[in-house]
This record gives sequence, structure tokens and C-alpha cells, in this order.
Amino acid sequence: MIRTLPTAWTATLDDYPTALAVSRDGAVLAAGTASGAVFLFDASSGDRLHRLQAHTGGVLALGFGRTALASAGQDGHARLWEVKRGEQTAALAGGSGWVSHLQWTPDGKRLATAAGKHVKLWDAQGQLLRQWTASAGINGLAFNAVGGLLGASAGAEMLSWRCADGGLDRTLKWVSTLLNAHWSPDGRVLAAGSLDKSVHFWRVGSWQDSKMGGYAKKPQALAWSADSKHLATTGEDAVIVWNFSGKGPEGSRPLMLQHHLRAPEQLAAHPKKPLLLSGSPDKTLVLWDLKLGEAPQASATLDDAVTTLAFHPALPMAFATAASGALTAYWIDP
Amino acid sequence: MSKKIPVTVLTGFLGAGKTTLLNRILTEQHGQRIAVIENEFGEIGIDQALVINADEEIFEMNNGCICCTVRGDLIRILGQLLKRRDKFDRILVETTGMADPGPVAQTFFMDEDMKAQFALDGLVTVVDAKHLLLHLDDSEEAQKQVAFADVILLNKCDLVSADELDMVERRVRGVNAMAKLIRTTNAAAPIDAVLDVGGFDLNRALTLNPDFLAPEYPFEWAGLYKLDTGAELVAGACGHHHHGHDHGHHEHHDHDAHALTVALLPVPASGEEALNSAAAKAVRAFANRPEPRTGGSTLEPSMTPWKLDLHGDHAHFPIRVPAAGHYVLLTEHAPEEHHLSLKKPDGSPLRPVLSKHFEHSHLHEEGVGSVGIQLDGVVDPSLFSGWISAVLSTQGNDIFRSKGILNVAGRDNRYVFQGVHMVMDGRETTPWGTAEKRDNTLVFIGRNLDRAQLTAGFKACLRA
Repeated sequence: MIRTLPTAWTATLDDYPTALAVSRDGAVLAAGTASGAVFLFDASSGDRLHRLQAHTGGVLALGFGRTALASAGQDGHARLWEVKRGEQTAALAGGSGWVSHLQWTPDGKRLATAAGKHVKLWDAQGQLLRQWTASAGINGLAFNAVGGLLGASAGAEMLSWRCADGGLDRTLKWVSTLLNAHWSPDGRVLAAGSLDKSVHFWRVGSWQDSKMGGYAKKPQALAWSADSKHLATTGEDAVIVWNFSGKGPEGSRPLMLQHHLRAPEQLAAHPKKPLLLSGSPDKTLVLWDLKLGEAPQASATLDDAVTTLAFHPALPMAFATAASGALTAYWIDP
Repeated sequence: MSKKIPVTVLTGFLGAGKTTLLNRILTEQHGQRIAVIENEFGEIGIDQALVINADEEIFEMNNGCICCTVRGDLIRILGQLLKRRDKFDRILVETTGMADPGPVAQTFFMDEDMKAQFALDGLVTVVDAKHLLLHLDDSEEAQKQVAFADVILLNKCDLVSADELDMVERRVRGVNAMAKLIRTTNAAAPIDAVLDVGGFDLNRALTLNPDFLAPEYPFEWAGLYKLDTGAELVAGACGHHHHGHDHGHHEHHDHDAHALTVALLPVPASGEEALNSAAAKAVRAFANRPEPRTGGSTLEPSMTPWKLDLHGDHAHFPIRVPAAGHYVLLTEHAPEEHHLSLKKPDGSPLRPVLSKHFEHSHLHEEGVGSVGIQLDGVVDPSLFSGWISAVLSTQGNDIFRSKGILNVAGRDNRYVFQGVHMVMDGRETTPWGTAEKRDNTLVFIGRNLDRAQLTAGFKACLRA
């Protein structure tokens, strides 16, 4: 038996939780649901600060910039919120249909949104800076470390735009639809899961590409460790973790993190430490320490399938939601 | 694991009546809560809580292989709908008029997550009886929408004559021998004929139009006439066929509208047997190169068919027979298509004593059609499994749907399989009845199907 994560606090949301985000200073936790509501909590105490009726239809994504919270939803808009008062400061028209993805630059000053084939770049006040239209729907957005390049998976292509002049930096082609986009925190590798049950990545500079195959299912969730050494992926009963330190993952055996009874679908990497959380429809979440290898460190059982996960950036805390609407904060230090 | 959510896919060209049907389904009191995923041009006239717009988006599993495409927008939307599954009982996907039903259907078989949560109940295609022939000739999408369907609503029946309706129905049957065909006006079909179709349910019996188990003929129609001395064949664009409504002039694009191959053969007597023997003989006659004939030239009974030049409003061809008696006229296309008729020397209409429609093989050579196979015998499971996987992997691009009920050696249960392109699912279902005749029925719907080859291939799977 492994250690059970102790509960710090709990809350109940109004519907199926779809998105979770912690502010950069760690003060506020935001949780969005399928009803369109966004709940703001004091991250350490669990006190509810606001309930924002953010979108008609569901919330699809949440993210904190330096000061503002951004939400994206099925009503075709992304919205910016002043967190303290819980007030909307800007409504950003996504382009067409659901705004499925949003991503802040690492410095939190600019925001990219994707709706269908339309990608838009905004400043933190909601002024439109650039817009692009891809040839296929966008399945993922990722900024590189300095925020100069915006990667977007569009069909079987990974597009990379320059934010400075709006130009297309390059088009990286793969033979099968790409499901997401994840730039390593050090900016050296751009990775994506693919519908052909593989993980594909490109090394920035040489743009040499590699395919890591052998998955049983499509790798829908990817997460880079803070030190860029590890890329954790779903698509198997175990979490598959590729080691990018040294010569790289090519030809190497990945870490296989086994503990869930059913294949995990959710992943979260700690923003500073080599810690990883995985969550599964089997209602369990597991804490892993990538420094220590394949042994699970601790786990918790929720009352329903795990739908979202997040680490606190400073306190030894992590957050998880279940399909029932339950939100739980855990203490993660032994 | 909770029960899978049933999904109905609605296809059809713009203006066929798809939205009318959708609105009917949504307003009728059937006690089911329906989430609708509609295409971007949809115009649902009902204030419905769960209506979601889709943006037809193809996901490729593997570069360029049509059999490996799924609909990314559906995966995304259905994934989100799972989060609200307490709010609805079933899902209706309305596609655009130009949508290929293949990727839509494959989404529910190829994507593990979709397969685990949703069950494709059926594909319902609404067609416009007045314009369908034109669409079938011109558009690959229309052919596919008819070919993939489990249920076809032959809509706007009030706008065409009974003869035309029969012709359209035969043409539809020529493409898809497996679908349930419902004639409607204003898309007024009973709801239970559209929802809960069970088209992909392996337990559902396979119903095939018996005509499709018959061999193919190079002609579509045969009429047995009693000819005394002579007659006149009249045919042409608008001929003397009286329509009670406006009539288009460009409905017959699949073939040269100004040419028609016909043959005339003597038969010893009247009756169905005589007609069938003439048809058998005519298969050989139609193998001969037809002789071109322009209007005014005389036609006589012969094993060489004539290719009639039908330029002009209507063409007249005198028919001369060596002796009074019974003759069978065979036409490449149904006579209605060319407004073809026979007249007595005094100008009054001469009607056939007996006539019969045949399935024309051109549907199978160039376009989309069905091949039905029904054979007695016992199937060797390993031979069958080798054969069907070879057929689907080499011809899966062209085979849209396949289904079969088999009598497998040593098993008391029916073995049922069904496929979409290369994806196939099969298992044992219900037991054969004690008094029931155990036989094998298979149907393939697709493009460029070779009936002889498929039949021979399946025959080779039977135990001696």
C-alpha cells in the first residue's frame, strides 16, 4: 500500500468540472464547469471568493496571466477577469464556434486563443494583436520559452508562427492528425500526441523529428517536467515518461508508471519540482516523483472519474476535480 | 459501465428535407431528450437547449487513407457532451449536404473513446425524389449518402408521378439493396422508423431486396408485345409523355441522353416464362456491338441490338416483324427515362402485355451499387475469416458497407458480421431455429463491385 494524500479542503462545484488553474502567485484557484460557471477559491484555505457566470454553454479552458484570469468557452468567446472583484474586463471573440484552447505566454503578458481554424493573439487587456487562420482545426497551442513563437497543431501539421511580425516561421508535417501541442519549458523541443497512437516531437534548431510509438491508445495528454528532462504521456495503462536528458529518448526505454487500474487520462506537472500527478477514470490520482523513478509516491481516491489536476506553485498542495463536481485540495508533502 | 448513448446520423443534400425531418423529430412527443449536432448551415427552427454546431473536420489516422479518417469535430463535441450525459438520451448528428458519411460512421468504430461511449444506431438519408437521379449521376457524395444509409426517406413524393417514383426507387435500390426505403411528403416519416433503427446492431436481421440476389442484366427493362404487322417506336427528350408538372430537361446525366440501346427478340408465346427466356437470350444479344440507327430507319427482330439516335424532340422508328406474334423489346434504360413507347400503325398507343424491370449492371461497373449473395451451405470459419479480411483490406476503400449472416460449421448460432470500409465487427448471435433453413446471406455496398468475384470468393469458403 502506498501513502494516501491527506485532504486539505474540499468544495462542491455545480456541474462536471472541465478546467482548473492556479494563479502565478498561488493565491487563487479557478475551476470551470460544463455549466459555464467559473469558481474562484482562496487556494490555501478553500474559501470561495466568487462564482462567475463566465460562459453560456461549458467552460473549455482556463489560464492565469500575470494579473488576469482568462476563460474560454462554448459561447464563442474568451473572457478576461479581474480576480479580486470577480469582474469581467474584456470579452474576446474567438472567430468561429467554441473557443477550445487558450495559452498565455510564459511571462503572462500575452494570450493566444484558438476557435476552430482561427488563432488570435491578444495583449493582457484584450487588445487583438495578431490573427491567423490555419488550414485545419486547431487541437493545441504552445508558446516557446521566450514567447516569441506560437506552436499550433492543425490537422497533421504543426505550425509555428512568429509573434513579432505574424509570419509563419515553419510548418512541420506529420502523416497523422496531431492532438495537442507542448513546448518544453526550456524551449528546445516541441512535442505532440498523434492520432496514429504515437508521440511526435521536433528538436528546435535542427527541427529533426522523431516518433515514439507503441501506444495502445491515442496520447491525448502530455506534460513536460519543469526541468524539461521528462515528457509524461497518456495512451497506456501506465503513464509513459520519456527521458530527454542526455542523448534523448530515441532508442531508450521510457519510465512506465504503473498504478492505475484504468488508463489515466489526466496529467499535471509541477511548475518547479520534478513531480507529476496522474488521474484516471478509475477515480484515483497518483503522485509520482520523476527523480525517484517508477514507484508511486502517494495516491487518493475521489468519488468519481478524475477530470482535472493542478499543482500549487509554492505550497505543498495539489488540486483535483471529479466528474461528480467534487473539488479536493491535498497536502502532497510526506 | 453505463449503457452506450445511441447516435443517429442524418444525411442528405441541401433542400432534400433534412431540416424538416430534424424539426419533426425534435417537436414530436417521443419522450426522448435529443442533443443535436448540426452542420454550420443548419437552421433548426426550434428553441432547443442542446444544439451544437459542428465544423466538418477530417482527422487522419494515416496519411491519405480514406478508410482511416474520422471526424475530429465529432470526437471533440461528443467528448464534451459526455460531460453532460445526464441531460439527454440520444444524439442526432446532422451532416452537411456534401458530407462523406464514411468518416462519420468510422468515428464510432475507430476511435476507442467514441466506441466505448457511443453506439451508432443508424444512418438516415433524406433524398429528394424529384432531383435524386440528377444528384446520383453527378455527385459522389450523393451516391455515398444513399449507399451508406440504413434508412432512406424518398421525400417530396408529391412532386413526381407514380412512374417516376418507381423509377427513382429502383435506382435507389440499385445503389443500396439493404436500406429500408420510406416514401414521404414533407419528410413525414414515423419517428420509430428513423430513430432506433439498429442499422449497426448485429442482432438485427439482414433484410435484402430479393431482386439483388439476381444476376445482372445489361438492360433495365423488357416488355412483351403482341405485334400483328408492324408498329412504331417513339422516343425522345419530351416525347408524348404527359406530365402534370414542370419537367426538367437534364435528368439523365449518367448516359448519353441522345442514345439508347434496344433489342427486339421473337418469343413463341406470351407469359412470364417467355419474357424470362427472352431476357436470358438478350444477355447474349447485348454482348454484340450495337448497330447505330437514326430516326426513321426500320427495326427488325435481331440478335444484334440497335443504338438509337434520339436527337431532336422525338425520334420515330418503324418496327417490321416477319410474322404476327409475340415479341420482347429490351431497353438499356427504363423506357420512362426516354419517354419511349410503341404505337400501332393508326397512331394509338400499343402497350406491352407484360413487362419487367431488371437491374442494369452499369450501376455496378461505373457507379455505386449493391451485391447480395445468398447461398446454402456451411461456412468454414478460418477460410471465411481469411477471405473477408483480404476483401476488406484490398477493396475497403470502395466497399462502403458490408453485412452478413452466416451458417458456420459446428455452430448452432448465427454468425453476424458488419463493416464500414475496412473496419469490421462480427460475432455469434441468436441460435438458428430447429425448423429453420440455415443459409448464408451477405451484402456489399460500394463502388466497382465485382459480383462474380465476390460470389466465387465466398463460395470457396463453404465446406464441400
